[in-house]
Amino acid sequence: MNGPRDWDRVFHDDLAADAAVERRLLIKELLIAAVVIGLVVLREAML
Amino acid sequence: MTALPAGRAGDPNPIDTATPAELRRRRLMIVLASAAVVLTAAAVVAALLPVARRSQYLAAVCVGLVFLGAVPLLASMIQFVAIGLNRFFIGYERLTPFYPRVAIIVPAWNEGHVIGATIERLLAMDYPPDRVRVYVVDDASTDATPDVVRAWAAREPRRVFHLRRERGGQGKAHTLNHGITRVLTESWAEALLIIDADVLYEASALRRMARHLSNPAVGAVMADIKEGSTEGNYLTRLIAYEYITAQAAARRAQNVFGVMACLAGGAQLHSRENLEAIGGRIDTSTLAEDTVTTFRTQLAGKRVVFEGNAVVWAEEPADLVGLWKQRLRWARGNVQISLQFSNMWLHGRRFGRLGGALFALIWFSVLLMPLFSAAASAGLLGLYVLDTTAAWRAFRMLWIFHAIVFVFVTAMSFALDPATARRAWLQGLLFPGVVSLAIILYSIAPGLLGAPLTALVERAGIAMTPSRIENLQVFVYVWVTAATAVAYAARWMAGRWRLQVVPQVLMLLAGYGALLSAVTVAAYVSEIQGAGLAWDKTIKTGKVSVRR
Repeated sequence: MNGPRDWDRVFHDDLAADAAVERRLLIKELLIAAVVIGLVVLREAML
Repeated sequence: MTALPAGRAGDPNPIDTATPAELRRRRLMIVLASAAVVLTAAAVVAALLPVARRSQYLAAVCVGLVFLGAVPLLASMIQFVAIGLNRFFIGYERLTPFYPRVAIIVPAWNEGHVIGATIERLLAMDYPPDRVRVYVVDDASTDATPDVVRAWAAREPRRVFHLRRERGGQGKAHTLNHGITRVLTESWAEALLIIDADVLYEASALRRMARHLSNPAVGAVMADIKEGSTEGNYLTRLIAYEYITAQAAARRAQNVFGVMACLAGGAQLHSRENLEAIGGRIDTSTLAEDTVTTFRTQLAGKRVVFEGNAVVWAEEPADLVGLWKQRLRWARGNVQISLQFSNMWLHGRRFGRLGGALFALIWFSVLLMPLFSAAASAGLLGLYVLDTTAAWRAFRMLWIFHAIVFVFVTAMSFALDPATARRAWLQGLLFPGVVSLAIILYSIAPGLLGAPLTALVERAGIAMTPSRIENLQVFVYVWVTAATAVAYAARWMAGRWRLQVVPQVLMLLAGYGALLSAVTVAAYVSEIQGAGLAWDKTIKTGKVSVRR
């Protein structure tokens, strides 16, 4: 590691990045749930 | 997420201190008494009913058994649905910049080929360098481990310490306790990181874990362990995929539920206060010391957090025999813990969320998976005898639910860890096994698979007579149980045959869940027989890397 690190800034950068990951995960989950429900509905409609 | 309620003075200790012989006797009593009560009650009710209603009653019992077979699927679905809510429960908003002084305890027995690289990587982590010390507990190694560690201690006398146990081989917990005792006798450490000698920490992993200890409600934090073998094969990729589901997904869900099943042995960070509160040592009475530590932490009123963005890479077994040995140790440990904490289950008022129904569902859906599978098969066969149409309907319902869970879980797993999904997508798709996958497809769209399969069979000169169709029906009804036997056969062959193709094909047919189910059955047998608690170390080659 070169030079002194601003550890407070590292903390805030990490937190922002990780919160974004978890936010995206919720969006992905909602999309996947919508697709699965859509497939179930489609299957029922086709039978 | 709120912390579990702190234990009150006078609360009974949920940890059973019975001797192994007493535990064995109790095990047998519980299993036999439960089975006897259920069977007797069912038989009495059947005998008391009028003949005309008896078949209705038996059919209802069979349907109930089929529903029981869906319990592991339900537990899986509940957990995967909760994943996305992790952002609301992980507690980021309560964190402040915090870089505690961390003592890293590295248990090492004959790790000469990996320990140097492990120490180098730990010291190079992106964390304030004066706040990390590495304590390698050398468990009477007979290889180059002591020389390598001493060389590092000479080079970094304030940061690397060699602790030697002259009497080794007692297991990881004893080795860890040697290091923990030493660290706690000094005032320097504010937190202790317990790791395995062969795991590789990403540069940011420790600081991403440590920040959670700025919240005084948190007692311990675990990182996300990923499979990182450099020379991976089909099995290691299966494990890589399994770890998405069992670690990255399930542990996020457990953050949401406010209760954690197990801290990963290779990546657990404890506050000093927490380790001292749970006795300052790791449990040595079971084969699952990590789980005991996790339970005790939560019973002491502290939260255990999974930090999925702190990543650690580990080498996992590359052959079936090694994997079986590792998982049998884990499964036996879980059986032991289920009994050791027997007073805790379903006693939420006294033991918080650890004693809640949701945690019991998650825990026992794994521990009793072979019994749930057997219940489904028994229920379907019973219905088949009583009413073939009802049996077919129940079977379709069970497997359509299986299909929905499979699609959701697989898609979420791929979304959760796209990098692992890219190298293990095939293993993800084939995770349930080829036969179960075919049944899933058939359940969703019978015409899509049924007609071509019938044509293929008839082209081979085999007429699909009604009796053959019935035989096929019976086969698919019992498959969830038969798959366990097939997986067991794969393990048996892998340990005896030089040619590994046949066991691999059997594994491909039976699926990974069936293998875990077979391991669980083996764990029941070992525990009922009172087999010894020898701690078999999983053999590692050191061929692991950070895969990003």
